[in-house]
Amino acid sequence: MRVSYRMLKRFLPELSLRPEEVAEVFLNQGFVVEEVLSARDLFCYPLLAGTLVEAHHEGLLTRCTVKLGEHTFQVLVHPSGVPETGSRVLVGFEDHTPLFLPVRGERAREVFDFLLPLPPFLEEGDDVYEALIGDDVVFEVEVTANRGDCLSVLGLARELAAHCDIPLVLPRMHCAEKPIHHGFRLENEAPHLCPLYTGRYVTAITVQPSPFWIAKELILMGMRPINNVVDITNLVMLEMGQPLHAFDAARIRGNLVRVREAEEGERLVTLDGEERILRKGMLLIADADRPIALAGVMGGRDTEVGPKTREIFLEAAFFDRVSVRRTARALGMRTEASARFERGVDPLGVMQAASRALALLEEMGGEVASGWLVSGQPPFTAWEISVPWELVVQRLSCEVPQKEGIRILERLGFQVAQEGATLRVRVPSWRPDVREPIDVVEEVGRVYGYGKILSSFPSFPFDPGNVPREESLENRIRAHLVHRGLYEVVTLSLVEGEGVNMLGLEGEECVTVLNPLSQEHAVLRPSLFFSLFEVVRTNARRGRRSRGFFEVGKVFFRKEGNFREEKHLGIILWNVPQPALWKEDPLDLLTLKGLLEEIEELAGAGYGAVCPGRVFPVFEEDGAFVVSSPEEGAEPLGWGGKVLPDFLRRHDVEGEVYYLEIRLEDLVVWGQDRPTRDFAPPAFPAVSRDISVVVDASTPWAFVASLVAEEAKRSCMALEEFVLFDVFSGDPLPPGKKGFAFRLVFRAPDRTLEDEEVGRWVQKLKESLKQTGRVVLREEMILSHE
Amino acid sequence: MIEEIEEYLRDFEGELAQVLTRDDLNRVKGKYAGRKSRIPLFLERLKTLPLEERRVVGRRLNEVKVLIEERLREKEAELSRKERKREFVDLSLPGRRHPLGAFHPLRLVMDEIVAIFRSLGFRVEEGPEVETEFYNFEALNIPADHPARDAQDSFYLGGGFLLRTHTSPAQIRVMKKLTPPFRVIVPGRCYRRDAFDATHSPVFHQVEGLVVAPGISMGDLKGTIEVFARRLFGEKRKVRFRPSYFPFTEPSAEVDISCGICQGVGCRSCGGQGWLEIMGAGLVHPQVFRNVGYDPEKIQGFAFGMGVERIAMLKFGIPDIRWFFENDVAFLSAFKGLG
Ligand SMILES: [Zn+2]
Repeated sequence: MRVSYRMLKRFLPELSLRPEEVAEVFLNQGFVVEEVLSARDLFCYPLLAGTLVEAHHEGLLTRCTVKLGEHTFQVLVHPSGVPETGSRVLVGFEDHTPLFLPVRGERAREVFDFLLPLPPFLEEGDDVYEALIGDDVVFEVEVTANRGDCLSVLGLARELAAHCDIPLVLPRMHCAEKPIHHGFRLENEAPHLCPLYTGRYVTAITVQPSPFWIAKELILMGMRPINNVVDITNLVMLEMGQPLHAFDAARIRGNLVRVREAEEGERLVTLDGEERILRKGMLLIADADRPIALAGVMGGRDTEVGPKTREIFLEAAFFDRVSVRRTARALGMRTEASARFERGVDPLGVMQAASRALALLEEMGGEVASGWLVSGQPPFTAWEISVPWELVVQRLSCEVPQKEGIRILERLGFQVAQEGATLRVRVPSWRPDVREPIDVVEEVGRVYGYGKILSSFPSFPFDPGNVPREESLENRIRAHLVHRGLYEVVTLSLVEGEGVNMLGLEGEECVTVLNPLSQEHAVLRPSLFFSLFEVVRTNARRGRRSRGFFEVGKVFFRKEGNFREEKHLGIILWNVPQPALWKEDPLDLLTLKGLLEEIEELAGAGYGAVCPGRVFPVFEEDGAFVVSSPEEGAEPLGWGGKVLPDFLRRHDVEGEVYYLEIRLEDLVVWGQDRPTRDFAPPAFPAVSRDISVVVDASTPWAFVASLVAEEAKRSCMALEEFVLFDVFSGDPLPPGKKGFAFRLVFRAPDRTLEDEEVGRWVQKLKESLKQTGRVVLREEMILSHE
Repeated sequence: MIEEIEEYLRDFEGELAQVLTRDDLNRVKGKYAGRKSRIPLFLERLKTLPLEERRVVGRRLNEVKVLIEERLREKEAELSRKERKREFVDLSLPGRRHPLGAFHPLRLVMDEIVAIFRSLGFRVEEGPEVETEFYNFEALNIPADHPARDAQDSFYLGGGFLLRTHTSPAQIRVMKKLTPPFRVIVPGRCYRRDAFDATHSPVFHQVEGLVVAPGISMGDLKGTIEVFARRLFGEKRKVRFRPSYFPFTEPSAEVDISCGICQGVGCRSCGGQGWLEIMGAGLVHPQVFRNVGYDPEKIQGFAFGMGVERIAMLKFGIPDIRWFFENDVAFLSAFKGLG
């Protein structure tokens, strides 16, 4: 909402605040002032008084000659917009080009709709700023959704009146009426959507340019002057907040104005020239034959007030908020009128606004027919709220004097009766948002000043608080990965549908947004892969290098018709050649597995079995794995793999990329309730022995490891642990063979082990390894050159 | 015999001069000074000499023995010096180390906000990102077809579900889960149907706060937020409350902090305002309490909600919200060592 300082002063003659103070008051009472403009920002400059010296009809247009001192300017004007010859008219300049619609940024044009007449007391060549605009200031005020009443000068002036404790003066609303017969009738077929509809008939209208003061106020408030009739309805809407509409009465068929719901597919060409196809139930105004306006949104072009209009039908109504909102949204229209109806207009202000417009129309020579055409009642029942003063003081945490509170409420239009320490507050018709005592508390607080609230700190019983295990684990894992050289990222969880397809996930399991803004953000990601790969891609494109990225975030899918969201950890490792002084650790599938093990250890979980398996088709066939949960039948804990080089090439990513995704929530559960270990240090010394074996290259370590573990268990050996410390192949081993060297550590809890006993165990282990026929002891191997 | 001894010394001097390594030295040492050298033989032969000669030769032999030992020690010291020289470490080289990564600035700010409120006795709760329309709007006193919904254009998923447009629905969930009094914050991700530009993102983060206890007032809200804002932004910052409107709080307030550059006077970085908006807040609306079955006559509360992106932009001076989501290493590495 735009409002000018001088317009506010028109409603508040005693206003003594300076413009910057006005802006401060607005802000402090809940209205953000987005911009403070000078009048000079809105009009072009300079702005001077010229004289219309000649007007010649040339076909449909009039060629006017405007004199300004020694200069004359020729301009083509629509005949209806030409004042009497000899009158003063406004001439503005923008870059030395004369402009007759003096709005800043307006382009020069061939034909003007009108010349703006100026009051006759101006001399030719007078500076119009100095004489008529002054240094007026315009405030662009943001009005919150609950304050429809402040989409008007009246509403904003009332806020200032409350702050300054000064009276509010309403503009003239009285006019002389004449007993003119017009025969117009009203039919309201939709009283549920239009509880009050009123019409007035005015004749003897001369459509012409508005007087300068109206044009000036409209321009200051961001609207364009069009002609005196339309300008008056717009000005009154800005003044009072009640949208009005003037129909050319001669074009209303059958002298009938009907308020009704549209039929499906009815058509109406609105003022902006667009043909609107209406849907069933939209509220419209019709005459005997056809729709003539979209109720509360925009008038129809056919009944528009134009140069030839002599008589008008002035509409002032209360339309249902929701109906106007739905219609405007469905048609993609948002007008000054619809914005006001949507937030609710003052039910008791409807006829008041019409009266104000009639007073102005009469001033312009219109003859107002007596009598209202009215259908319905203002939808308003007064209500009262009882507010114990103590409540105001307690909730606001400040000692507002009761007298001051009453004064504030009264200036805002509330009627207050005092009953001891309790106020009975009657709410004005324009404040439907005030329903409960706490709303009254806010009204007092707003004007009294939030700055006066005394700070305190809520004190109530001690709460031990909570640090959920998942939160602390998540933080430890994040810190670990950062220390391992990875960057944490945050990415959008809405991704492209195409990305989902490339993972080969079933489309129906994904969660799709019904009304996406763009196809780029249309699907809720079912995996963190897309986002993390996109991060690698972005960095690759920009020539950046990094060891990798990770993100903790939610993924989404549908399961048995329900939405499911899970918190996952995604890690992407990027092996891209770069010069480095110190060699980094190698990057391969085992690096990925190493990270997994580190995370499992951080979670206090056991290690899940890592088995070959390709979850995403973007992984290499034999370069991918699934981590199974130790729990029988549970979903896998995670999965990972090496991304296909082909895929990387297609996306212009150099190097190798490995990806790991872990279902964090399961990891948390998995590591829960871990039994406390025995922390007593061992009392007896350990004995260690090394074994070195040779196997076929295809034999996994797990084969040897499980044999050792089983035999140790079967023979009740005091084997504390065994650690693989070397994997070797090549000379002197024959091709197709590899060797494992591992250390066995024996320790008994109750005695020192004898060498001989340990020797027997080692012998036993060696025997059982040999028995499989797949394991040869290194020392028994006959090597080529031995 | 004296001649033999002199020759022995000359041979020693000659071989010692050839010594380059510790091995050479040990060999020379073994040959000329140890038990297997000729020294013991000389001593043996000394016994057979006449007394007069024995004294002269004996003295010389002793001198030679000491000299050899001294020369060997010198040589050893020289070798050690040489070896130490080979072990010279160029400390101007970069250290042998692992590179470090960095936390994401949004997570850094969220972690910090959580830590501050936790120290003030708040619990941390979470809520789902896929939310029901009812919890996201109606339960928070935002009816359908209300202009208040304009600012919260939503992504719909069908079946009455949407992506939450704010963390506020978690207020409803928390009130249903816990019994007052309580202090809770809910950090989380939200979605609005906004085009991706320098100041808007369809996906963003908020931290919601809720305190419910009998007698909670605007002063409690103001005091809590002041403590928080000064801890997060610095002790010198001022906090300003001004009225605003949220359907689920009454009275409602916007909270500003004074600009860190001009301290409230107005400068280019704060658009001349002197103040920067950091959150919306207010006392919990009685209707919201009724919606969860609390009696607003007996229980009060305050709530607040802040945009994490906005706070991170203010705190780190980041001009474009999209930078957070691009994750350019050049950007991310600026946050190394934080958190
Ligand atoms: Zn500043």
